[in-house]
Amino acid sequence: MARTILLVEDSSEAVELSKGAFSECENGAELVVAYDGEDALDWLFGTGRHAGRRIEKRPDLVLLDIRLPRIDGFEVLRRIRADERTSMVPVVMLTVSSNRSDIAAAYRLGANSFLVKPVDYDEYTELVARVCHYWFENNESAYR
Amino acid sequence: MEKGFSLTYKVLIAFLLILIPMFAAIFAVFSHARDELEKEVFASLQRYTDEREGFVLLYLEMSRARIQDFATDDYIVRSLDQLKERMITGRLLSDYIRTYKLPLLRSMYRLSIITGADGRVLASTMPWLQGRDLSKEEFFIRGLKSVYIAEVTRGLSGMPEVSVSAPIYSRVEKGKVIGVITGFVELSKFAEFFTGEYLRDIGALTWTSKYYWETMEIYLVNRDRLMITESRFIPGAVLRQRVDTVPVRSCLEKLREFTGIYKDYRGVEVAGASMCIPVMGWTLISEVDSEELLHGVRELQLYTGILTGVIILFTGALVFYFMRIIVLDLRRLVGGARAISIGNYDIFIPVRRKDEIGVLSAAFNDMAQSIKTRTAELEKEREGLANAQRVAHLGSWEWDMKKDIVYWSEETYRIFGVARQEFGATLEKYLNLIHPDDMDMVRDRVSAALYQGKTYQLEHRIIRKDGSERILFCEGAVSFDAEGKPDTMSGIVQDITERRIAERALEESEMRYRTLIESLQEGIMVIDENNTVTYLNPRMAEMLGLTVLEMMDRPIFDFMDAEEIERAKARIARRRRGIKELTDAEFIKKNGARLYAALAASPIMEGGEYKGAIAGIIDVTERRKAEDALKESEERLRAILDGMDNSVFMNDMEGRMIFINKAFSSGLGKAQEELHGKTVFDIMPAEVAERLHRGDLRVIEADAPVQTEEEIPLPDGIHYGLLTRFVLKDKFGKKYAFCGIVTDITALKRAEEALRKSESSLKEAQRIANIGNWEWDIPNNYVHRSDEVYRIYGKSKEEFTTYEDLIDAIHPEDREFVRRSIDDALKGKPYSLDARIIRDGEERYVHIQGELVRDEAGNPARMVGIVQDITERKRAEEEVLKLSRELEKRVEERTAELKKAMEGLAAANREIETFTYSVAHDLRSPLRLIDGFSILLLKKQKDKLDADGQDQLNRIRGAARRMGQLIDDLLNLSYVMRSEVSYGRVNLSGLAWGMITDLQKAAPERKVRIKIEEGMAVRGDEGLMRMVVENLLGNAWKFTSKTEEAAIEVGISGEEYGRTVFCVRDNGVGFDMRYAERLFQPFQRLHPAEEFPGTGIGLATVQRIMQRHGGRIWAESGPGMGAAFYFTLEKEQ
Repeated sequence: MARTILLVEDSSEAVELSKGAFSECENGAELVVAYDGEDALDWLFGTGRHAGRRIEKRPDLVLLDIRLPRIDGFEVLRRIRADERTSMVPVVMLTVSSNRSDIAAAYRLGANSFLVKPVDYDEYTELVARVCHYWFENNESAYR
Repeated sequence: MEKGFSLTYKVLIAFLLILIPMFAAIFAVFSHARDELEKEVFASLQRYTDEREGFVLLYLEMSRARIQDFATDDYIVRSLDQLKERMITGRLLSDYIRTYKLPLLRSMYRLSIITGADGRVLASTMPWLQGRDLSKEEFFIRGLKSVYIAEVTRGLSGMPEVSVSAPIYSRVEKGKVIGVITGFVELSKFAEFFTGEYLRDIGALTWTSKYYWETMEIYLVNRDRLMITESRFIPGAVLRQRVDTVPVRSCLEKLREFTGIYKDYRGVEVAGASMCIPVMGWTLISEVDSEELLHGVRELQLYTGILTGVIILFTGALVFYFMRIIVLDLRRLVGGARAISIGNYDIFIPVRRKDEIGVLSAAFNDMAQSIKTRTAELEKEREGLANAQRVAHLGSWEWDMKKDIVYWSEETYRIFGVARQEFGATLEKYLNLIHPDDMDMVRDRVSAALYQGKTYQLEHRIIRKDGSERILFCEGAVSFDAEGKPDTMSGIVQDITERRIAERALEESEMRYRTLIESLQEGIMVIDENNTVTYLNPRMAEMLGLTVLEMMDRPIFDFMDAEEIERAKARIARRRRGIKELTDAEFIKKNGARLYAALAASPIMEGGEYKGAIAGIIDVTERRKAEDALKESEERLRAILDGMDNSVFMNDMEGRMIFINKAFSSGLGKAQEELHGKTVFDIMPAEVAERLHRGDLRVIEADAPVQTEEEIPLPDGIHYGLLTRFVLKDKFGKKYAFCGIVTDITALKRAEEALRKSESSLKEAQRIANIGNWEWDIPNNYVHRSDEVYRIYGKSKEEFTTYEDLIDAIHPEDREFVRRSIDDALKGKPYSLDARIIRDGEERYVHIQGELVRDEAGNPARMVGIVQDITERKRAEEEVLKLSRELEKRVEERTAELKKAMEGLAAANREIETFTYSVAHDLRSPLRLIDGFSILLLKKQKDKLDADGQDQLNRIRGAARRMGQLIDDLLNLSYVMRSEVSYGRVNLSGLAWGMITDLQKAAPERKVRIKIEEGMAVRGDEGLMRMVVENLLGNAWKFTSKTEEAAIEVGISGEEYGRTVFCVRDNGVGFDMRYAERLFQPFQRLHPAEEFPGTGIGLATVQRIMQRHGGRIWAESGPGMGAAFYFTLEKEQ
């Protein structure tokens, strides 16, 4: 069964590259993309543009950038953790920032992991493959 | 005691003890000699063998040389080169070699030339060989190639031979072998070397070392272990006798030469030495039957045995001899001793020798002689005793009770006045001689003595035949038989008639003296040597209030007190030295009163030995009391005068001192006795003495006390004295002396002077310090002030006297407060205050201090204190205060400015932070896209892109990645500059190893020698330190990538200002020191990126980290010389 990944990323070019990278995942992954924080939250909780979505279908993994239009990544993370329905969804921060205060803030808010996107695309592809492998093959989810 | 045996036994053991080491020594000498002999024999054998081997080898070498020489013979070579007619040439050559070559060889009995082509004999010294086909023979085949020498076990002669062959080379055709020349030597010839025949042949006159030993044999054995020279012992042994002995095996199997004893081919034990000749596979052996060889050793064995036997026999004989003579003499001595024991003193032992035994015998004879002499002397003594009895009128007797026989000595008969003949001595007859009045007493006493078994002593009278009466002293004792019954009584009898008469006379005389003594008015007392009273007359006892009996036999010290006992002991000690004297003594009477006595004592000496003393004693108590009273009064007076501080003197009218007190004499530093009789001129300088003397005269004249003040030089300086002089008169009004009393007033004078001086300096001090002191007499309201006080207040003494005057002088504003303080002080609280005064219209400052002094009743009596002008100080203080206030204000201003600047800085820092964040985020994102899309392009459009296009795309990717790296490094740098340094212990060695492991993993193909010092630890921020190590080691790794045998070292290289200097060193490309400074600036690179990739930010980051840690970093290098980076950090233990 293909896993669902919620990728929150504001740049469409970056999304395009990520799609290419995720297509390499072992057992395939369905990539749901949100271009800003609000969109991501709407999708998760079936509100706004996504009103009526069956929210029981939680993503298996949320990949979250920090710098996002409207609602930033930290706020998104805070709300995911605050809501009972999503509080145990694994959230991996995937960003270009390696700022230490960002890293600390993310973990304080309950991020499960913090990954810096490498500039080298090859390396990025490799990283994505490892992420899929880890979270879908090795890790035990709370919702299964 | 077991006699004879034990001595022999001991000597025997000693004998054995001597023999054992002797045998050991003989055995050691013997075995050493045997070893030496054997060694010598084997050396000789080896030498012989060596010599023979030399001959053999030389001979073989000579043969080889000869045959080579033949092979190049001009005639032979030419003949073979031009060979046409075989037969003719063969014959000519045969003749040639037989005629010209064979004689050169002597022992080579055959010589052949064989043609190379067919192996047939062309020419030979043996004609029958001509034409023979020898192509199969080894010596031909090998000879074709080179000179060849070999053993031919069964040669053409049927005997073992040595063949020597050499190739003949053509002159026409270079390098072609046209024939072989071969010579044969019979092996038996070699035996000639061994016998010396050969040497004689070639010219030696003699050959001495043919066979040194009878059974010596030298022979050769070939590799088949067959003898190839003749045997001396077995005829026809050549090639038949198999020799499989130790040396042969050793040579053939191990190629080792052998020396030793073994069984030879005959089975006989021999000593042999072998030499190997490996060229031929021969073994050369020299052997001698060991029987013969070790003959010398056997002989030595025999001689040693004989010597040992002789020694045993000789020492044994010697021991036996000594035993015999000693024992014989000892026996003789024993016999002599026995003879003496049975009373034969005439024994004499002949003295035959002068040794110890002789001395012993002589001593024995002396002893016998001296025993004889003593016996004679004893006899004489017995006679002497009889004589002595006669002289002492002392006889002895013995009464055998059982037989009732009385034995009397000669003297006893004489005492009783009877002759031995007329007196049948029985007890009864003895009793008849006794005075009738004493008869019963004697009987009783003798019976009692018998009955009690005791000794008796008695005096009795006898009446001699001639009627004279004698007084006898008898003593007798009883002895008993085995049953305890008295059987004998013996004793002495002495005529004491004369002594008794003399004693009676003495008693009478003594009685007379005693009466005399006892009626004396002086006490007489006698003590013995133990100080016990042995005699005293009644007067003596009376003087002490005791009776004679009470004093008798008591220690003399019982009648004295402790002090007197000491004195008495001293007196007795003088007595013991024989001194007589007249002295004082004290006794304690019965009632405790003291008896003062004059004592005349003399010692009683007997034979120079002290036996006590006798003393006559007179009571002088009354006289003594009067004397003591006078003395006491005088002493009291003197004590008073001596106790005085004043010097007191009394001079006679001539000015001689007749009395002086202690103060006087000690003032002059002299003893009192010393000054007696001196005049003032004797003790004072002339000038002073003259002045004092004139004074004395005036006093005598004036006849009234005169007081003067005098200046007197004394040893410790000039003294001032008040001298009072007056005249003394006797009861008749006659002036007989004058007296002086001196009061020393020196101290007073000095104190006066000191006070004057101190007052003046106090005044001076007050003036200098602007301090005045005052004292306020409260009841009288008068203030005493020092001069300085008036100066301070600018007032005269007249206008400034009371307390109110002071208050008036104070500045009106301060008056109230001063008054209050003084009021408080009056209640007992000391005050200390600063106040203003008005002086000449000018405002001035004073410091006043005061303290209350109470009288005995506790009422305020006085107030004392000081006043100081502090105007100058106050003004200076005010100045300082003003300045510091100004300073404070300035500091405040600056602080405010600084605070503002800091705020600005913090804002800037925050901005930088935001900025770097943006850089990270916003620059990285597009870079990612560039790289990502380039890859997609490369993948998807690969077929549409030519190689150039692909290459350019790859370059784009490279640029993007470099920029990514640049951003990472910049972020690090920025982080380093902003972050807090959190100090802790950092294991530098561990970090370095971690980094090296990572590097090695990334490039496993690289071989780098790593050396990292153990246990390096520093105080610093772990994260930052990691960056330092990563950068420095990363650089070292990078810049050694083109170095062969790369090496990287991390260690401690020293210390600088208390910090440890660490060093990272590599042997990579290094850099030019001219650019050393640029190294630590961001973006500065010293190597092109193509050679060594990098952003140029790493070292800048490291430098910032060092700065953040308060350390520094520097580098040392040169192009191609490697680089060393030093950095300083605080070391952590």
